[in-house]
Amino acid sequence: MIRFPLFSALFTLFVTAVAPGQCPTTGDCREVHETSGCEMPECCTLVCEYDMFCCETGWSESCVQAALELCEDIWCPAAGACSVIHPTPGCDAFECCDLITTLDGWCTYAAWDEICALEAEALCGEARCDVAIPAVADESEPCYDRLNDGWGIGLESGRITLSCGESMKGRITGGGPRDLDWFTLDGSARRRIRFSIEAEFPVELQYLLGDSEGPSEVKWLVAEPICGGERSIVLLTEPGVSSLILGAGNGERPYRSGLDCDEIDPDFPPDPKDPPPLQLYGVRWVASIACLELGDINGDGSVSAADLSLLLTAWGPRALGSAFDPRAADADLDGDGMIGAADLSLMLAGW
Amino acid sequence: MRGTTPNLLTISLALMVSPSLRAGEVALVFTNPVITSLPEPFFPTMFKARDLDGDNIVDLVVAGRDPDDRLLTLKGVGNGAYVPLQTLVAQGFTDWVELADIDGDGRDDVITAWRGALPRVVAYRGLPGGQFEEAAVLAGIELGTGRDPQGLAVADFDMDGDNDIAVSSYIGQSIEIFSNTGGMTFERVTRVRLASFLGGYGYPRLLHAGDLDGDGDLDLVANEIGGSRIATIRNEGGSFARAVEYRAPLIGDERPGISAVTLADIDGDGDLDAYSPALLLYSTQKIVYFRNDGTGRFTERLVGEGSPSGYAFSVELADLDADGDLDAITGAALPGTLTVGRRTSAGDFVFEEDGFYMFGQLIRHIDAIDYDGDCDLDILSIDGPSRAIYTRRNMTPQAGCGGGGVAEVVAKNIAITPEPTGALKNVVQPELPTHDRNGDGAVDASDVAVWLSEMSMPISLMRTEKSPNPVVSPTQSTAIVPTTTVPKIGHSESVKGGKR
Repeated sequence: MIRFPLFSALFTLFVTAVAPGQCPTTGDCREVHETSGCEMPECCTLVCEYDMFCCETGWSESCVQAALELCEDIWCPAAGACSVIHPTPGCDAFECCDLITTLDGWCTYAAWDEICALEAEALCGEARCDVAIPAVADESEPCYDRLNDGWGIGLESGRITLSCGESMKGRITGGGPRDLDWFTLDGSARRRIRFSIEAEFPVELQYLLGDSEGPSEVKWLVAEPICGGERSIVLLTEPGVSSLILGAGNGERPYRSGLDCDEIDPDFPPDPKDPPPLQLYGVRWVASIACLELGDINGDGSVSAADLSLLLTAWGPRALGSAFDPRAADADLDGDGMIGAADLSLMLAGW
Repeated sequence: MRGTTPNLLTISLALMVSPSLRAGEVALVFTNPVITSLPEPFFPTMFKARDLDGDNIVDLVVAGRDPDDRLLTLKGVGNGAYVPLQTLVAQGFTDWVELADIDGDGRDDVITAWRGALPRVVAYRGLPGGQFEEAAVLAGIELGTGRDPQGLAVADFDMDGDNDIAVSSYIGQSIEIFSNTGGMTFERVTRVRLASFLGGYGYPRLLHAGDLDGDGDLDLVANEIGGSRIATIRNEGGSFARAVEYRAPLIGDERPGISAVTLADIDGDGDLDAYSPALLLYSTQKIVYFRNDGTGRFTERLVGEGSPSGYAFSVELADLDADGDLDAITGAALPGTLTVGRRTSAGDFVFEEDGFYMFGQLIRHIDAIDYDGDCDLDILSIDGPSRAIYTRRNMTPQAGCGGGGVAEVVAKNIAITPEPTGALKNVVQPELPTHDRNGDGAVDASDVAVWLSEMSMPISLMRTEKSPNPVVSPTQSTAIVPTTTVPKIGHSESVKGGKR
């Protein structure tokens, strides 16, 4: 079981004492069938607690009606393979369906579209992991607050300054607004840096050029799988205002749920009746920045023949727009969109 | 929400004529509206005007949020009124509709996106006589139609001679682009994410195509109603770059809600600029103008006057007086008003208010077209909650080719004729939303814009006690331009599109 089902802590404690043992069985809870019980565990238990007949004799029309009333938000499992697009909500593997519908509400009430299927492929069956957090500076943002969220929210917020060679730890949580951690970058000149990140949640990292008023241009956005260890991106930063933005997501959409803050906001303490915080994944991250020579294309700390080889291999126009992958070697040292003699000259200057 | 709303109904109902006319310039004059009422529970969101049946009179295709799953075509009768032509069956709400030849047979087809739980992009193929076939699905979830597609742009993006399609995914926060591969089949080109750096929801709504950077291919512009931004997506020879986003400027100390965006060459320099209605809670409504520097980048943002009351929701710029510059028509909500502003010169972004008309609840869409064939641009607007289309004839003396002396006589009569007030006597300003609808951590104008945008039924507080339907009755202008009410259109056979 990957997660503790939403809003069901007290309920589960209650029904396990009284619910019959036939849940779940087979058959869609929303359709009449001859056998007792149905395949959606939570819904089956709810209905049978309401009407024992449904788990003793058969799933009659009255059981269906009870299910439709009691199980409005319970859709798992449902018809359709989790990794395959289908026009109905939910999918056939309970744990996967339960996980994805918690992360992504659209998959709960609408169609199982390509994003639901993509999420299932990437996340189902993957165990959560803990990141060993070193003794480094903390981002100093309580997880109920939004202090390092740049201009990504409607309130005034700041950005994290991380200097060359420094590391920092922090957390990303969901909610509204979801948490984003913005890192300000030195915009005095075109620079090469290596940004390393390790996180307990599915990471989205994007590089944003521009200020809050615009033009604001996301030059690239990448998603990293969970529990993949430390990931590094060797990137060229542009002159001017730019930011690296860390958040949770899958590259197609951000995650806003399943990453609850577990600290108590003294100004807005939780209602005792609220469900407990739900963290499908850990929420911690640790990041570091290393400043490199412009010509250090592979980010190994020196400008060498290996970098020259990468530059010559990339000779010609650079991939633009969404085709640009920051995880690939970027040899466009002068940022003119072409890899050529000018870039070679810059590289040799730093040899 | 900070305090109570300042947008009280401080409204002058008389058509106002500006005292500041330049030599040789006349005020813009429009008739009171011809009203076409649409059947309940249809909530119209937008229309496309074109002569569908070849009788040289403009007809309409109307998109809407309809629990009965309809899309309407209406036949123009020539005086600004419309009667039913065909009821098209949809599956889910439609927010936008385009008319374009998608199958290459030389006839316009109706293209729209069915919203709802199973979003699809569909075409109703054109038939002779202004009729359309049943819907054919062009792109379903297998192609990635996005989540809640609302806006739609149809154009030849890859320059291969046929029309391609782009849709805005409101919940998915992206633009989905599909290429026409012939035979009513499409393939996916790309998804462009918007507002990925926002903690809240960007909610892209409308989408338009135009060559922003002058490279010969068609780029895209969208508005992000939740983020108070517009986004441009440059077409680079058939593939699309990542979005570049521009925030609406602070006006006073308030960030406006941006519920729409449209393209036009506002400064006459040959490139397309963008403009949006600017919804404000604490001052009169404005229009924001994003000036294109010729390279597709909006390097300057200017603000012009919009509506003196209500909350700006729609805007159209058009040369209403045929003087070579673009005048402004601003539609607002709560109350539903239409403000006509005359541009004082092509070199600035200043408008003199020549007309202020108050009618319904929420003017969702405006278009300026010559419906009567007199060579000037008349105003068509649509009010969602009131389920009405208003047609106002342009009677500005210097505009058009057929008005002449008659126009002046009519203008004189109309200038002293107040707008009807019957439906407005018991207007109660509804409580504005006080929660963070776009999830950005602040309650502001963008939340009101989102609230208005998502509305799909009349606002009960705006109804009068005696009249459950807020569509107003015919007015004094009846003698000049008859008011017509379209008979109720029967419910069509419909297939529910699932949970909305």
